[in-house]
Amino acid sequence: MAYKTLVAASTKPLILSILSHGKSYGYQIIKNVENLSDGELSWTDAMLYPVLHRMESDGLIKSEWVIQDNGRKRKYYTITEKGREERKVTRAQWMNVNAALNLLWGSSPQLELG
Amino acid sequence: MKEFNLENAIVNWVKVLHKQQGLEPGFIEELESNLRDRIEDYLEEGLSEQEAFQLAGEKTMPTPECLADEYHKARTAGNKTPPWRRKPSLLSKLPMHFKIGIRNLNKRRIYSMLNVSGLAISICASFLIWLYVQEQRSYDQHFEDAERIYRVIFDVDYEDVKAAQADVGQPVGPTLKADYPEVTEVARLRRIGATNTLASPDNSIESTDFFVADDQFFKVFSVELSSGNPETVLSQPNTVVISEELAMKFFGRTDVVGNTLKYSGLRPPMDVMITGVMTNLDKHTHLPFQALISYGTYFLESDLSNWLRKSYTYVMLNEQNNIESLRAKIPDFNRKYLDQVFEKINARGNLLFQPLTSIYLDDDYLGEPYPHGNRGNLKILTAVMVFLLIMACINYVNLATARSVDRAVEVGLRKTLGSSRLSLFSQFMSEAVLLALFSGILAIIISLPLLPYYREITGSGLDVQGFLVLENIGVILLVSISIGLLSGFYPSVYLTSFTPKTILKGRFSSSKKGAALRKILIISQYVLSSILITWILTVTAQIKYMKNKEVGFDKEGLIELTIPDDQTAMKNIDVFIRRVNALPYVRAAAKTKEDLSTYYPSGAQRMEGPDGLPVNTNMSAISVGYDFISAIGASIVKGRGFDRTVPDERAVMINEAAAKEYGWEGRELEVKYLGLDREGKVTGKWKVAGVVSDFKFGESYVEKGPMIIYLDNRTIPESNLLIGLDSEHLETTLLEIIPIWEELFDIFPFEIQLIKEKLDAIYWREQTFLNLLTTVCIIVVFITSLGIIGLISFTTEIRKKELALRKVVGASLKTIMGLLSRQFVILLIVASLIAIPLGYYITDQWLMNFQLHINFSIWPFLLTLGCCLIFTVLALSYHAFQAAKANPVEALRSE
Repeated sequence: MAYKTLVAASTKPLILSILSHGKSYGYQIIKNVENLSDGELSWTDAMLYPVLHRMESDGLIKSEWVIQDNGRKRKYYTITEKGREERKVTRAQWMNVNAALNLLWGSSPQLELG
Repeated sequence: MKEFNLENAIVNWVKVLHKQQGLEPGFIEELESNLRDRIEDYLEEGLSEQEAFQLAGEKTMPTPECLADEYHKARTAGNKTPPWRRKPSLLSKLPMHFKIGIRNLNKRRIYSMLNVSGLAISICASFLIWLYVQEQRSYDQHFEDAERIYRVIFDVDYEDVKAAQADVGQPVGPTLKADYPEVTEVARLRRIGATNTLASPDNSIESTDFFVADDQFFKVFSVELSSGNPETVLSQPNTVVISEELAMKFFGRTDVVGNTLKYSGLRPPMDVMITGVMTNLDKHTHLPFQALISYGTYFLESDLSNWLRKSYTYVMLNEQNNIESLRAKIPDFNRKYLDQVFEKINARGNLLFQPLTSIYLDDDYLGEPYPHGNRGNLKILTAVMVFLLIMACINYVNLATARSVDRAVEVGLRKTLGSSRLSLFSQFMSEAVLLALFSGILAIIISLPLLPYYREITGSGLDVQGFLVLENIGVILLVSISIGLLSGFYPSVYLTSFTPKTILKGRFSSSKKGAALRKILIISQYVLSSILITWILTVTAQIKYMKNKEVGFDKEGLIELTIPDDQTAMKNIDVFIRRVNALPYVRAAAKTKEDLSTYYPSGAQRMEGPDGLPVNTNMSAISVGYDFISAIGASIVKGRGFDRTVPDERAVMINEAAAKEYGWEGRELEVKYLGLDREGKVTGKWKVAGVVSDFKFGESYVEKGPMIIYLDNRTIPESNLLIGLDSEHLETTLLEIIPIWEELFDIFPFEIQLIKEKLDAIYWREQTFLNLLTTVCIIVVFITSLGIIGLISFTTEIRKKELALRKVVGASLKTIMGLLSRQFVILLIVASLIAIPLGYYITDQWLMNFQLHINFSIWPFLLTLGCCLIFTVLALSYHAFQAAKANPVEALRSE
């Protein structure tokens, strides 16, 4: 299981990234994240839905209720233009962190120590 | 076991979420959809419905509260505790309670105004009363070590008549100090005559506030001197210490030591030098002196050893302040000194010690320098204060429960929506407190314009600045909050007791219990008001009766002069009397030691009846000069008066009451008065020269009893000179007397006292009481009226629909009026039935203080009842008129 802080920090980029591929609903997002991380990131519903609401009210995503063929309703989320911008920014940030870590964990990182 | 039903389980699951604060329906819908998705997945994995539901449920929602927390966190970035996590303290709810409270007060503006103004007036009046009581209690407390200072008083037992005197013989104080270690300091002071005059070259002030005081005065009384040494300022004759206030009046400045003033009292005027100036004199004292003249100015060395020359004497005890041990030694003191002194005048004397701080509120003793406050009145006032507050609470309770119909729906709705009784209770309590707080603030505001009247009635110096101190405001607000809590309690319990079911079904009507309580409360106010009004009418009638009561002498046409304490002047008194007697319209002038405004209790006299047998009688005795009887306008019924022309007149006179009492009628002139010596042996027989018509000095409400009159035509300094004259020509006659006085006693001012005024002043206590009652009554009546108006407007309000319907089917204004009035008239009649016996009892008890009094009569009650009736009907008719005038459609269409 990943650290709680890491989970919290990665939630928004993950949601935005998933939605950038198409619309989805809460439960589906959870399942996708689980599959992508080999079960390493297991989000709870109690965490996801409030975040989705917050993101919606921040204008990063928008939602609509869709009635299924079986008569049930589902709330689908799609990414907005603002959300795409946000995804770009966070993506760059994560890439920076990723690059730095990769260098450090490589054979001979350039470090000034001592 | 019941079979598991998935749909039901989901519905219940959703219900639980709905109960959680912070979860909006939209959220829940989404969560439900999520739950169903999960269940579907689990079912596909082959789990049973129940297992799938359970697992999905656990996954979706740990607890509703955690879920709500997450939503809250996401929404607020986690800086605030969510409301459902906050402790449910009253404090956190108060702002909301107050908000709703203000809304409710605003909604029912008239009720709120009635309530607030009633409370405000009660609080305001009670607070002013409290201030007055505090002020009266604070008298003399400002002196340092006041609790160790006592006034020494004489308890004189004179021929079986006990009379405590405020002043004691000159040697008492110094002897106490010399003999008993408990007494560390002694001070004496005295006022010479009724008033004295101090004069600077351009200003002359006559006042009762000038005293002669001995040089120890400042050792007992901590008075600040802005100049002069307290040890020595009063040690020399012809010196005076004056207050800064007086210095300003005389000289316009305060550094006046070394200046001289002219002092005149009963002695010829003399120069006195100012040796000290007193500053910061507190007016709250039983001795509001403005000038202290040194003892040596008035008293000679020989006076100071005279046990019958009296002064107010104060002792200060040592640190232990053991007054009881001192009191225990007094019998010894009496034996050693007082007994031989009092034996000479056939009396027994005893010393008592009166704590300084209680003097002002104690009864007046003989010879008090100033009239006192009255502890009884303070008690009445305190009772009134408590009563006013209770009435204010009653009215609040009344109006609040009267509004129950109004609030019932609110209570029902809130309860349905899940409000607990406790939280509703705190809502109503908050409203009560809020209203009381408003009233408190209003009370402070309305006190301000009342302060001048307060000053006038009480003689206090309280001004706006003195009133608006933090302490007073704090007390008022604190009292208001307490009233709010107290009076809010019952209505809050009552209002929150409603069950939503009955209310919302519309079956609720103001309960009978509540209505009965309201009626009782209103009746009690009616009763109180009418008793007070009746009492006021009775006191007024009794005072009028006492003032106008025939007393056997001519009150209107009598003036009193004081004989100057001066040898040359005294020699001229008889000349003066002769010349005044010669004036037209003057009945007679006569000397007397007696004070016509004081009642003389009777004492034992030994007489010899017409049959020659001795009789022990009980008669009041007075000593008068020649022509006294004709001066006061009484008449001699039989025999003759004292006769100047008879040398060595050895005779007495008795009155008709005495003759009747002892069965001497017809043979009065054969009765003898027996002069007795100390052993009781007869030393001489005095004949009864004449019988006079009955008259009565002092309080007119005491029966004219048997009286014996002795002749005493000596000219005694400071005793009285009475002049009886035709009251219709009072002024012209006075203008003729003044030149004679000025010619004979030029240096002594001509000061007269009208006996009628002096007699009327006896009843100041009753008069003060009346003023007090009247003030209280005005407030009580006002508050009662508010209560009644409130109830009337409420009754018409809840019967609005009924009245409208009646109007539709043809009821006239008269019928509507009748309908509305009936209830109140019944209340009034019930109240009167209670008030009459109760009022009878109270006024009768009060009248019992007076031997002669007016009879209880029913008319004050009828008058009061009439007033109440008229008031109620007027208040009613306004509302009835409104109701009758209103378009019935308005009232009826709301449902």
